[in-house]
Amino acid sequence: MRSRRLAIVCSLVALIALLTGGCKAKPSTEIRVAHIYEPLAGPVQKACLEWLEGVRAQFAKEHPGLAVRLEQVKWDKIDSKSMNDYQAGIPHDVVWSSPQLMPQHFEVGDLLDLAPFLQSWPKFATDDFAWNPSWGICGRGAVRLALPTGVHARVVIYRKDYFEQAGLDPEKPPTDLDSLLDVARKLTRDTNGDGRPDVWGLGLYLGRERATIELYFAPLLWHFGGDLYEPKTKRAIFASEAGVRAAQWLYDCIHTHKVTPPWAAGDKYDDIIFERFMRGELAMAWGWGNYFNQALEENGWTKGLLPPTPGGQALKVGIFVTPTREGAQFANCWTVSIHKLSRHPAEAFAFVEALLEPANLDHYADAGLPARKSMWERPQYTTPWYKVWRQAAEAGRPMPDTPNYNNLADSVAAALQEVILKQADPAQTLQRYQDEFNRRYVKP
Amino acid sequence: MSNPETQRGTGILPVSNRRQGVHVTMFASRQWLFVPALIYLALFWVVPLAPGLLISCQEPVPGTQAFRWVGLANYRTLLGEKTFWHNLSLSLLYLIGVVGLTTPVAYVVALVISGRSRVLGAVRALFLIPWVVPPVVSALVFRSMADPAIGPLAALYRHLSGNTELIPLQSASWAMVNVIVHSFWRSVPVLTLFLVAGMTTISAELHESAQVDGASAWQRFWTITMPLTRSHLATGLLLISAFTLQDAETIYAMTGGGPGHDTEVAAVRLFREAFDYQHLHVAAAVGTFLLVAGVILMALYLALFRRAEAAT
Repeated sequence: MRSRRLAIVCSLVALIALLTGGCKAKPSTEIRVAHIYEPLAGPVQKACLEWLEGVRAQFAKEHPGLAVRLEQVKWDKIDSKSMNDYQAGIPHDVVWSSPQLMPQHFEVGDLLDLAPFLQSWPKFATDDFAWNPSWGICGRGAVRLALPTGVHARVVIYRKDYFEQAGLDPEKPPTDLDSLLDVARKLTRDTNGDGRPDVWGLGLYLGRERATIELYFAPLLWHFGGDLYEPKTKRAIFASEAGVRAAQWLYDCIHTHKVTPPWAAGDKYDDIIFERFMRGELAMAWGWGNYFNQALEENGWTKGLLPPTPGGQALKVGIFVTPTREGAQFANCWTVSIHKLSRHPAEAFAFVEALLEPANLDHYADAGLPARKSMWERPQYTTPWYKVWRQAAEAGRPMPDTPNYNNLADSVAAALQEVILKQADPAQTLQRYQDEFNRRYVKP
Repeated sequence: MSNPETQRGTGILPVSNRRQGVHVTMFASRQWLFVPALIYLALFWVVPLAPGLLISCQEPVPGTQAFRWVGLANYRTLLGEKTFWHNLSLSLLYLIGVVGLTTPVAYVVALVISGRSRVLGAVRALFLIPWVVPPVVSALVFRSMADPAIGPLAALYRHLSGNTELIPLQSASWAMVNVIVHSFWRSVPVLTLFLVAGMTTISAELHESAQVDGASAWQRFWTITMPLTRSHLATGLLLISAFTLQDAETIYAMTGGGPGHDTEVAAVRLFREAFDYQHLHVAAAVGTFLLVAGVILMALYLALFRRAEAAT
């Protein structure tokens, strides 16, 4: 009887030990890394996940006491998740973040100041990142909330064969807005004789996504000498004369010059700029991001450009910097931050450092272009193709320093849609949306 | 003079007093029956509602997790906005469109499938398919059906509008039509189900007598079927209206509230404020407006329900 009881007790203890994992030594600290992942967004996302798994494995090897848990979040929800989780008291450690929403992060206070950690970095290491167009907006005074993982620049991409068919020299792309329109007119063609163009000269996206303000309205507004927002007074100022000219220019592309398809004002940015260009419906696509380049390589339209090689060539397509004046282009990137509620900030920063090591960053597909200036000096980034990307990246400007950026972007997109789809007066429409934004956010 | 206490003990209390005593005891015991309902109300109404109302009167303190009291400022901001009035009017249009389309069609379908046959029994189950399809999935299907290149709905809208170049989701009115048509498609089965349930309770003799008296099919529907299914209609409409008023996910998936703000009903505005702008306080204020609208609708339908009960 006694031995039977003993056997039962021993079995129970063994079972509990097994269930609680007592047989295996577990790492003492777990770092929660919230990163962007969207399985439906194509092979780049899969490559990014594999890359992150690789960094995690290497990090675990180098830091035996630390384990990394990956948390996947959709790209356009990761910033709001960080902020909402902070309000709800849910901790993360490392978080991917967006420079456009950095002023909102500053206001919400969900991200940790990285400056104390960066003090251990030599100056050249910090300078290697500081050239990034998004560097400024990720810091305020001595406080730094995020570090860039790469650069996302946008250019105008074009089909060389379409240029040749229209009697244009594919090696001489347009250099200003007037010549852009001129070339776009020549490239717009009705190939099947039904009276409607099948190939549009200039692809633009003017739907409800943030791309509308970032890639089209803001560059044109800057080009005409205006600005979106005045940080000092915290007022939106996009309804200026320059804003009206920008809206009118976009309107004219569709309704007056008829070089841009009417469906530009709807759908999704990816569907219009990426899909339609790849299907051959657009001869030139303004707003082409480096994150689309993998498809060019897979289709054989470029060779040896992704991953970059010194002998890489653009075969069927060419690119040029958005022909607005210098500095009137937009650039951003993915940044990494540490969540304010992190229980292991030092360990989290160690993981951030691992992510940003040149050997690791080199293989991060979503980085787009190199985050570190020193990486641009490598031979594979000195080809004509990457020279254009570098020029676009260096000319890039961030979005304005407002904590209400999402609403600003929505206001501009809604105003433009009203102008383009309802043919509303640009001056009055922009003014109405600007006034509504200011009434709401400018405190007396 | 005898003591009532002694009388009660002996069972010789006057009849009226005896009834009163029984009534008091029963009332006291009945009061306890309310307790579970009160607990339910507290748990599922007051507890979630109170923080929402509280947040709607606050705003976040920058850089902290704290909120500060601002009274009715969030409500004032919303009411001072032209866009918010537009949001509310679109909600009303959405509701009227869905209810207005669903009610007659659901009656027709209910009349067709309420007959007694095995085939109809099987068909009745099929009618519920639109309701069980996840709303976001069906919204995306309707989005693709309104695609100008491949969508059958786009072709229909072009035919109806007489505009061969129409891009439905880029037209303020046709985008709203598409949103309403989708919700109508989802709502018909639910209302039909309620109406069929109501129709099966109507005695066949009533219709037979009316037929013998020479009543036409329309007269029989108007004087027998319609009044006797009014309570079922009220319940079904209450359910559909609540869903329509609160519907954010299908519109968000289909149009994102666009073009411009032209399909941004109040529920979509709430969603955007909460999850796109992180303005939970403003979202809570929008939610309060939706709650008030829901309560008004509920009162209307309950009035209809009571009228129907009184009539029957």
